[in-house]
Amino acid sequence: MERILPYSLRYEVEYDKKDLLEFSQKIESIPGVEILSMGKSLEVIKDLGNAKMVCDRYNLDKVVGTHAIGHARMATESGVDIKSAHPFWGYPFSDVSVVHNGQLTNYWNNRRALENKGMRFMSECDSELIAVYIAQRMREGATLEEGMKESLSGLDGVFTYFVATKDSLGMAKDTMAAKPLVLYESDDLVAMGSEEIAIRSILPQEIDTYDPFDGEVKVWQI
Amino acid sequence: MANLKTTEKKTKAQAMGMHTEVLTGRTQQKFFNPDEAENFYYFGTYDVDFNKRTDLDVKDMTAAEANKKIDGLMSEGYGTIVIKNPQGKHSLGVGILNKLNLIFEGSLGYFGMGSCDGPIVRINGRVGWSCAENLMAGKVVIEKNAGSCFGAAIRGGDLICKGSVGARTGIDMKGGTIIIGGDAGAFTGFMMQRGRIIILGDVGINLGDSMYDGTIFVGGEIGSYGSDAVDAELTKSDQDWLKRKLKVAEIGENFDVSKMKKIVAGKKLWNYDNLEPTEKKGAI
Repeated sequence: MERILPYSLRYEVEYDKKDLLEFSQKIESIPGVEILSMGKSLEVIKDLGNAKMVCDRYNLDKVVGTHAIGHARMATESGVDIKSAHPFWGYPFSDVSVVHNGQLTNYWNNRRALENKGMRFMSECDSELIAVYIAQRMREGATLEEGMKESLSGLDGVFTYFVATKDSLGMAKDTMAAKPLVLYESDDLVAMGSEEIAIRSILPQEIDTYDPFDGEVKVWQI
Repeated sequence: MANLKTTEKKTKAQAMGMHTEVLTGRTQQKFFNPDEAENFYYFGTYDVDFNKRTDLDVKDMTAAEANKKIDGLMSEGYGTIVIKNPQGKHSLGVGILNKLNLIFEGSLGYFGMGSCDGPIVRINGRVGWSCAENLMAGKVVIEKNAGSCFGAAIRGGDLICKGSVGARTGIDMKGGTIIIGGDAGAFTGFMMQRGRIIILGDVGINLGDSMYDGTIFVGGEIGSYGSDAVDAELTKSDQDWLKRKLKVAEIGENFDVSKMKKIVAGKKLWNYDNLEPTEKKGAI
């Protein structure tokens, strides 16, 4: 066990069963304990503050990995608290996390339907719906790309979102293309963000970037 | 805003009943009076010499600092300014109201070249959302791709993207010409009121949705038509204009314009009077 902050702990355990639901329910039966994320390789870090503060707090600049997604939230749909911060984990599905820019207008209808199928929501933030929606589709056997393509019609509203799983990274944009996304893709690197200036901070040289079109879904295998 | 003298005498336009609005409150609109043209000027405009050239590296500047520096260089008479290392910064080159050769060696972020009137701009890179919003006159050429809302609400000038553009290109445009060398996204020409859009490639869904007026020419496939956007006959004069425009824009000069589709407003949604007051005067 590693204590990161007074309120945040990281545990490593061995668990050989595929479905994590029973395991996570046992852990959360301990009073005052809530799981922020659970998986074999992905770790979800949620906290309050700007990007630099959260980076310093969790030493993110020392983390080594193949892919990462992040999000600085302007809260409109739910409170400003840790559970409403991005990324969202598709509870209890292992290694699915989502960040989202936009607003989902059929959140409650979808949430009720997913809860009826046994899925659980940890917040009242509409963005969490995407993670749970995709986790549920993958649980039923769909690939990440299939789940994301279905979300274009299953989710209503405006959205651009990223999904990270243990071995893939994906992006989807709604059919009205209402939210921005700039993408750079080369043979060995994918960088994307709402603003090109974010990509330029890691790739200052002149590069070819573009805006994905409306209704576009892309998935990269890591 | 024009610095016009207040006069009791009615102008011709007022006498014809075309300026009858009684404005109150904080905003007092002043109409341009051709009889007092000698008093008409923009704040912050400069006499520049196109042969006087300089480079400006904005790598370590904020957008505000860079724009202030451009303004300072224009005040010193520089007519050709090359901007180095823009690196996707937002709002670069906004509010330039005079003739100027401006060259960006790199890409711009959101709102690049917004609210300009007169400059000739070449961007050797990509631009983010809302490039050249509210352009009044001049020419902006983008060598790579552009983001959404390209040329939003422009009133004049030529806006040329040699690559592809995002959604809502030419939204609410009121004049001028937008030329796209590649593909365009959804809702291209959304609520456009005047002007022309030329797309040499494919275009996404809801083309020309709720357009009041204006014309859209498409060379490739159309995802779907928006509400009240309809096909129109591509005339010989349309083709001549397209050829000339593509040649001047240095884009698609050899493109077969005879196969382009012409889309206009069906005018079932709006009863839009597309004449400016000055044109109305001529029509009367």
